[in-house]
Amino acid sequence: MLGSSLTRRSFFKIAAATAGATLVASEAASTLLESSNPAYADAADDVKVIHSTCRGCGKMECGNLVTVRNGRVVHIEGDHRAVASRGNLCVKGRAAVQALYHPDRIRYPLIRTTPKGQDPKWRRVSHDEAIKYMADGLNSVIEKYGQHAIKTLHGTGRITTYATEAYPTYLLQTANTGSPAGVICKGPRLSAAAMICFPGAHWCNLIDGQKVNFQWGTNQEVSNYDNSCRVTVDEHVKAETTICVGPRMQNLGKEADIWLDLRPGTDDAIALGLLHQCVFNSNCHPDMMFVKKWTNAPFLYCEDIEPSGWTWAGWGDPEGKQEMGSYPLNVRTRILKESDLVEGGDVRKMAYWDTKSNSLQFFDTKKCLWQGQTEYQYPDRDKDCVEYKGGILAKDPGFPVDIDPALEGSFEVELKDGRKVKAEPVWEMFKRHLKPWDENHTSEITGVAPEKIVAAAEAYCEEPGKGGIVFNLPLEHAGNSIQTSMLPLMLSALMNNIDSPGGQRGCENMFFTMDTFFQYHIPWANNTLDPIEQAKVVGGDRFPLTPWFQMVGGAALYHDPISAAEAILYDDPYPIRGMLSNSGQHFNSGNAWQNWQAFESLDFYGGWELWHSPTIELADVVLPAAHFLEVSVLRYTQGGEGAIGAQVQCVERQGEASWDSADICGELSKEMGYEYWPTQNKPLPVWPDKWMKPWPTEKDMLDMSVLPMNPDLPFPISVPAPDGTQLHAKDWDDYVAQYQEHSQWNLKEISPFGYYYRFQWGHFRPRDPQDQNAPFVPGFNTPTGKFELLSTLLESYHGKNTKWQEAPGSYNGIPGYREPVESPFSAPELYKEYPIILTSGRRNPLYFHNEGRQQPWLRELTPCPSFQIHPDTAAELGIEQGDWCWIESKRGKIRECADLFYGIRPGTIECDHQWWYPELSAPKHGWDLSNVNVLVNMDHESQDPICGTCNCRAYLVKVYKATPENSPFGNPCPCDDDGTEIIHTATDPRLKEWLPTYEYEVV
Amino acid sequence: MEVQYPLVFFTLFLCLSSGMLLFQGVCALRGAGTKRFHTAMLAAELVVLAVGGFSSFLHLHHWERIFNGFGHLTSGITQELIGIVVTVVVLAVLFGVLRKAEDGERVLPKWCGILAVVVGVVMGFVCAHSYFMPARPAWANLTLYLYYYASELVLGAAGTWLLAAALHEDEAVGALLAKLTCAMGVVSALAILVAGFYWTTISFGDVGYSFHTTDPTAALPDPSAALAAPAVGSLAGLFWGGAVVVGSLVAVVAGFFGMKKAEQALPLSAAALVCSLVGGVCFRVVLYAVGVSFYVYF
Amino acid sequence: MTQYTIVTDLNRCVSCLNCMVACKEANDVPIGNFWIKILRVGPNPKFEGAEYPDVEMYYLPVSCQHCKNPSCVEVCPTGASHKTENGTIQVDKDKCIGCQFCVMACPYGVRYLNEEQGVVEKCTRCYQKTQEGELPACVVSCGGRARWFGDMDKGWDDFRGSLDANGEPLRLTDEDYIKPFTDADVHSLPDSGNHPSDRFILRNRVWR
Ligand SMILES: Nc1nc2c(c(=O)[nH]1)N[C@H]1C(S)=C(S)[C@@H](COP(=O)(O)OP(=O)(O)OC[C@H]3O[C@@H](n4cnc5c(=O)[nH]c(N)nc54)[C@H](O)[C@@H]3O)O[C@H]1N2
Ligand SMILES: Nc1nc2c(c(=O)[nH]1)N[C@H]1C(S)=C(S)[C@@H](COP(=O)(O)OP(=O)(O)OC[C@H]3O[C@@H](n4cnc5c(=O)[nH]c(N)nc54)[C@H](O)[C@@H]3O)O[C@H]1N2
Ligand code: SF4
Ligand code: SF4
Ligand code: SF4
Ligand code: SF4
Ligand code: SF4
Ligand SMILES: [Mo]
Repeated sequence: MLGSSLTRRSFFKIAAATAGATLVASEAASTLLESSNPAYADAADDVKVIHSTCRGCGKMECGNLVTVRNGRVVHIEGDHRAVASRGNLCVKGRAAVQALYHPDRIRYPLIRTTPKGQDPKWRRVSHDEAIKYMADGLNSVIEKYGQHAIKTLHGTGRITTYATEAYPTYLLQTANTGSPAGVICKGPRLSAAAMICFPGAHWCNLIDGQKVNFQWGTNQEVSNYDNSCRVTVDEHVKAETTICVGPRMQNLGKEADIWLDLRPGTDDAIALGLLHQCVFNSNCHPDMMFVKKWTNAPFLYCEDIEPSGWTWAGWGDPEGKQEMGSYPLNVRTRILKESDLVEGGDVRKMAYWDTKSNSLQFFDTKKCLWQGQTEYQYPDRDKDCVEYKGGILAKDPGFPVDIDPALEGSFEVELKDGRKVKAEPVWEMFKRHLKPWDENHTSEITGVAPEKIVAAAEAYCEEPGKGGIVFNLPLEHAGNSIQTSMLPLMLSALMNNIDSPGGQRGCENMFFTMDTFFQYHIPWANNTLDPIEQAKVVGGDRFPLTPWFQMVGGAALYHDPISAAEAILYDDPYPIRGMLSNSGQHFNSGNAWQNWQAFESLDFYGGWELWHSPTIELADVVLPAAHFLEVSVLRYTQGGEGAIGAQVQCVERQGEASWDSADICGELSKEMGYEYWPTQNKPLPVWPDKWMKPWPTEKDMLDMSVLPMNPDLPFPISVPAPDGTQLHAKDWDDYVAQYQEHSQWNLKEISPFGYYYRFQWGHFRPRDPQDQNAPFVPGFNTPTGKFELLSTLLESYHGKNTKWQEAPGSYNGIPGYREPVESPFSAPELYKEYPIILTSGRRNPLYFHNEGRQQPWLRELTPCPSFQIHPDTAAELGIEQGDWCWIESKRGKIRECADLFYGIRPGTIECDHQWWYPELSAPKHGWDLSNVNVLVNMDHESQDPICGTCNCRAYLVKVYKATPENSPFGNPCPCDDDGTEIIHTATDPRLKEWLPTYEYEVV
Repeated sequence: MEVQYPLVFFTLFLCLSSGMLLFQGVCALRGAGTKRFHTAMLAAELVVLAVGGFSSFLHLHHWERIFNGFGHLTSGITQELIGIVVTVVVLAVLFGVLRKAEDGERVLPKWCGILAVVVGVVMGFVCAHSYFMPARPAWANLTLYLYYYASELVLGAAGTWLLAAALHEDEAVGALLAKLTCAMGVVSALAILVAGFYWTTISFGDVGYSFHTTDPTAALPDPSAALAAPAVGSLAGLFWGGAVVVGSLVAVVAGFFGMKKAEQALPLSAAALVCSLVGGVCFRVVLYAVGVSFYVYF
Repeated sequence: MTQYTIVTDLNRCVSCLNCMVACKEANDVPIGNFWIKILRVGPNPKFEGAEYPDVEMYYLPVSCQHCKNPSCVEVCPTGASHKTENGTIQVDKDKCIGCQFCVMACPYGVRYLNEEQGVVEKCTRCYQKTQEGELPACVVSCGGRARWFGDMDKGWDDFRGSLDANGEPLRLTDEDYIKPFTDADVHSLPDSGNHPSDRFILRNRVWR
């Protein structure tokens, strides 16, 4: 044991030192890595350029070229061949060397020696001791309080850290797993899309180009989410028309043809306004064939019946353990079903009116067949298809049977009990719901000029197929995340942009694409939790769909952080006493202080980190996480661009840093006394036994991640690319060697991602797991098999008279508008005292959330946080450019400095998020000085009623100048507890202390 | 712009030195001053020049390389260096002439007076000229020359007077120098006022609102305010109090009284010199403050 | 004659700040100093009397403008600052005495004293790279593909930017990337007699 070793200082040198930090010029000057073994270049005078993938952020998969000399990374540049990123390498990716070799990186396992809430005074321990400490800590909590008493804290993190958010579910069997950040980021979008079409539908593939580039509540040129900056700008320039939706003029938004400058938190309203135009404006031409054939618009709805339905589980067995993507839900809808009309009728057959035969007919939602249809219809490869940008683009062949479902009218039907009732197509209701949202009404609520609303709609809806709508984070941040995320998808769908070129293509880990490769490094990461247990997730009582959301996609594996904090603090509904964290911060969600207090009170908290960031300073034990340049992992694009590649370990790991996930899956579970790692419960039967390792090493895991590419596969993978191509790799090393030659593969060329409109081909619905030869079923994986304009799940769980809160503003399951809980309209009294609307989170290109504040190249470029304010508003408040100001809500206050920005609506401010100050002392490191989530609600009212997203944008504050009189230490500039100022200029000498060190201290 | 103190003192002492040379020349032309006085003047000019030169060396980071280059004639520094070398040569020549001179009527011949005046005038120009930069609108105009001349004159007159008083030169010489000090004080005050007023008339290109990501706490650039600061803003103290009152009017008053009260010449001239030095520093500091770039955004 | 020039398409610049960091890396620029900076110009009212949301803005990357009549060279006593045969202005660090007159003389504040070395430095137009026929770091790494490098004396055809998928630099004349522009859209920084050589393309907006 190494023991308390503060006295035993020594130094460790990274590789053979070369003169200075001179950088190797560029790819041209060096040779490409040729060996099939991509191991780091560590021989003396060795210079290698390694094709890898950047992980400077948790978003894009930018291909990069890493130059390594003498075992040291000396230069990183973008890989111009990478299809998804086109040579893009942002500041974070370039400055990654300054993280890798940062003097303050955590390089050894640490255990705290002081009570929580104080400077932890870390003591270095051995890796084994730390693992044991962690295992014992978790076990003792589980013994005392049960499996659900452990929760995870995971943020956006990295692909390499995803095992940690999933591992506790698979192994510890806690329902309180996943990434709480997911509830405010991407989770709602994935969940909402999963409810009405398919998870991840919000992602567009910009690399295919768009006629209308529609950037809605996103700043992709800065956030690289999930199209790289370079691709975003390229395609923006090429597009015929560009539309931008947001309350302030954005970096690329400055070029937009039409700017919908809405009041924060009214995206749902503007969406309804645009949908209104799409449907009622005669210059708009929605794709009525798509509407009739692929949405549930023609299904007849009847107000006068009791909702009825069935238990829907996607696929898998509703009684037993669940497959991924499956958690049984009770569908209860007033859409007319055969069972409503005839005794013994099928509850899954839904009624529509066929105008050709003038008769009531049924669509079988289970088999996805129209009345009279016996065989599935697929586009004809010769007649209907053309090649498009490496993929296959089919035109819709029309109805497979001779029908024309009515969208309009009202029909009298006789129920099985003899009652005669009126029923109308969902489309009629949809129109009725949209009717009030004309440009004037929409303008009143959103503040956008009516003519701009009309112009945007006319540009986008002139004809179908102009491209998808890129919408991102802000739509999730104003207390109506699920409904708001559904609405742009509906607009896009009406214009037939679902899975079209440049349209909502979704993420690659969709059903069949996934067969090309395994989920990151956690092969067979199937949820093995019993639905009964799954349902116990905290917050599940209020947000009943949460357990299902936890199934539908990577980051959608979340729980409600507010409910979790309450479980920790008040044992409500049961105690949570332990936590496992990696790559997440307590202040990422809208209950920063509540989380801090909660985490401080945990019995046991263990985590992995790279930095002494604030949250980890509450931990009992922390293990050093490897930097991404020290880790190999399979990488495929999260968003719709469609690329797959590899992150390749470039250099040796420093100190005792380890790859979090490999450690957790293996060592921790072994130490906790489990007999086998997670795969044991349900290895897919088709995989040869010899490939199943009970305790896979890191290398085993990498090999497993590419098993579906194995040429010796004992069965064919489900769907190759349209031309039959697929990737073959013997093992991980082989895969990496190919990657060195090829760079990123375009998924369209090697996988079923090569088909556009996959709903036509049956690639959007899972196959019957029992029957490998079952046909592909065209349609969507929703209860009705359709793109649901009326969400039957919304209706079932948050409709009228359900046990749970009705979705505000909704109409029988059709999503609606909710005024932000704190707004001039909803809280006029509060508005008097807090007269400014705050929105937050605009990305700064330098920082990934809380990260990068200690990297000199980044911090010097924006040394301190700022908020944007209209100069007129500033003048009214006596605020000038550069002034430190207090921003105060009814719950807390912070300081940021003023940026007078004429491009933000008067009366609104936009704040930087996630600031803390590594230069200030432990444990807080000043996280409470400027972090915007200090201001937010942790009351339940402002949460999204369906999934629990807390309000991060669109609430009320007051703003006033910080002065010596109203500031601690008489200093308007934020200071540490002892009065030390934060770094706020590029010339602060403390920045130089953070330059890379190649000889780090071993303490 | 940030104040470069070594340069402030460099030009201050350069002005003092060449101003004294100039007034020494005036005395020589009028046949005034004893040999002792002229010798002391030359010595003082040399010492002051050396102090100035030394302070300019403090500004350089590689003064050892100074002798390498120095061939670039368009450069004000080169011109200054040449000027200094010429001055030193002239001082040496004058010293040579002086050594041979008899202490009597006219210790220095007329041509020496002319030489000294010419060098003094040229040095004033050179001193101003090296700061004449189109990039700094407040500097790139006649007021810059006006001021450096004024500074040279008031410093030179006061310095010369002080030496004359200290060496108990003729009352007539003292009275002449007191008168000149008084007059030069007026010139200095006027030059400063003209400059201060002129600055407020300079207009700048304006990009409207702007923001530097590297400096979020910086105020919006306001060059017009910076240029009005001496007259009516935050620099009014330095400008009015320092440069005008202390730096110029004290010399006027001291010179005025000095004309009559020969017995007070020493304290009066000392006050005039010290105050005009202080005023010279004040104004030079102001010069840096108003030396904002013509494109203020970087 | 050769006049190496950088042209920035301001309609493509999105302030990703890549150029700033790429430059620091390529040229080992000290912390706290920059050879290229991005200024946000605006948002400003589109026209006199216009109000939010009738506003416009652009980002302005400014590095040394490699002037035709460089004021910095004019004032340099040692000849350390000099014009080279390719039209760029360079500082010979072995000659520089650190007098900083060039710093004062440059209208764009692109020079500063390197405290450690006691000499003045600024954008070299990536001399070490361009000499070898490579593109400057801020050009290849430009996130928005806004920056282009070439010889102005040869005309727009000569300008190259970030790489395409085959590793070939794109051309400024490629209309897939660079929307058409007229002479009236081409601007340079305000001139105080130094005649800046760099150019900025800004369409449909007031150049300020
Ligand atoms: N450099 C950097 N890149 C990042 C991140 C980072 O921290 N730093 N974070 C990553 C993560 S995890 C995410 S989720 C993404 C997020 O990235 P994006 O989804 O692109 O979202 P933001 O940049 O948060 O916000 C986009 C724009 O929305 C505007 N906005 C504010 N309020 C509203 C509103 O109410 N409605 C509308 N329509 N617009 C509004 C803001 O002004 C901002 O310009 O970025 C990712 N990329
Ligand atoms: N007000 C407001 N709040 C917001 C947002 C907003 O726009 N406005 N955005 C929200 C969004 S979209 C998100 S995604 C969340 C993000 O919130 P978080 O995901 O919590 O993001 P970070 O704060 O960056 O925390 C990530 C941590 O992981 C560590 N880390 C990085 N790489 C590794 C690794 O390989 N292994 C391990 N173990 N750790 C690693 C980093 O050091 C860092 O401390 O914030 C949300 N919060
Ligand atoms: S966007 Fe993300 S992946 Fe791409 S270069 Fe930047 S940090 Fe790396
Ligand atoms: S921009 Fe400044 S430093 Fe560059 S050449 Fe012109 S004057 Fe000299
Ligand atoms: S600092 Fe160096 S480059 Fe600048 S003017 Fe002086 S000697 Fe020339
Ligand atoms: S040309 Fe080179 S030195 Fe100049 S700003 Fe660009 S990267 Fe920096
Ligand atoms: S890299 Fe290009 S797009 Fe990014 S800030 Fe610099 S010039 Fe603008
Ligand atoms: Mo996020």
